[in-house]
Amino acid sequence: MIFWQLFYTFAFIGSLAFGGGYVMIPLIDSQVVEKLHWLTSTEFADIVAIAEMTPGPIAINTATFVGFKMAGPLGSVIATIGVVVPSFIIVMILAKLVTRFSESPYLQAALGGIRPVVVGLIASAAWSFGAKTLVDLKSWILAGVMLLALVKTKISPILLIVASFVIGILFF
Amino acid sequence: MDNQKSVSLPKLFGIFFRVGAFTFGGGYAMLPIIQRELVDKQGWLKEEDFIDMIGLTQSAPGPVAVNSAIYLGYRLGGLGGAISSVLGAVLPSLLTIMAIAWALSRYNLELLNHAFAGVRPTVVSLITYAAWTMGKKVLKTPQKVVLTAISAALIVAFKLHPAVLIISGALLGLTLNGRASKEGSKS
Repeated sequence: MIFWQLFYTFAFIGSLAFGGGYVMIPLIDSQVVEKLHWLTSTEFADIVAIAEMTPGPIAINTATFVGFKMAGPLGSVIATIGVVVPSFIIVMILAKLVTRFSESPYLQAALGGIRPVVVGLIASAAWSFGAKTLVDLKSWILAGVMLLALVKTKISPILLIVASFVIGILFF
Repeated sequence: MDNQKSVSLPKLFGIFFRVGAFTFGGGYAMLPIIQRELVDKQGWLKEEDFIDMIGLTQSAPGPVAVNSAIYLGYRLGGLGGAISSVLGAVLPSLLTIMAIAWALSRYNLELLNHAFAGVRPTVVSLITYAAWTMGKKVLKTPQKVVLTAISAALIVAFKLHPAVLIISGALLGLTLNGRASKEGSKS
């Protein structure tokens, strides 16, 4: 039955989705395109492009799109629930453990080592994304102005994203 | 996390709905939105808890936005909090993609392309800002600055998986802290 198949295919993808985002593209490709033939490679390339342009994680976007194509709106919902369920279970267990052991000196020591790594992780994401994106003077200026606005003012990041849409339409 | 009673589920849903609606460029760009809402505005979360959340959820499978929603939702409001937050985080994508799948041809993709060309530089600023505010909080010793620089360099140069670095960071923290407390007890 298609609903069950959608659910477990996307739950399988969700359970292996370590590192999120672009790590998942080959994984989804091998399951949905090559094994099950639910999408052609062209359709999959289109979804990756759409996922880049629309909000939301690529795994969720692909699940929603494939679910819709195979079984309509209910298919969308079921495939999306499938892709989220493994994260839900694993992250809940992590959160439970952290809550229980929050006073432990070992957990605190481990977190003391994890925090600088997280800063490095995010900084490297900014670097990689910047290397792809900041290709001309106007993109550098826009990024600089936005960074200044974030650091120096209390303007909501959401407003800045909306402003960038408008600037993009007018100048890019 | 001390004042659990003031956390409202509809508010959590609303906050993560906005997070989901404005997640562009692979996840990390929405971190300042969570930061502003939960740390600065509501005061439900300390900056350290926020950083720990990223470290822990990035060692589990799943997108950053979804994992953050589940983790923070659970810690702030239990199972109900986790469900409200994850629904909020997922609904914007679900609705957008369903609309696109349903009416692909009606979209003016040319205009969308321009709009997204404008958003990309801002995504760089959002991610840089997240790193900057966290760095200010965390990097208080030279060792930590070095650890951050090495982690960033390893990811950029060798595309190491984040989970590998997070686990190494945890082990390093345990080793160094163990030694420090032994030295402390001697003196």
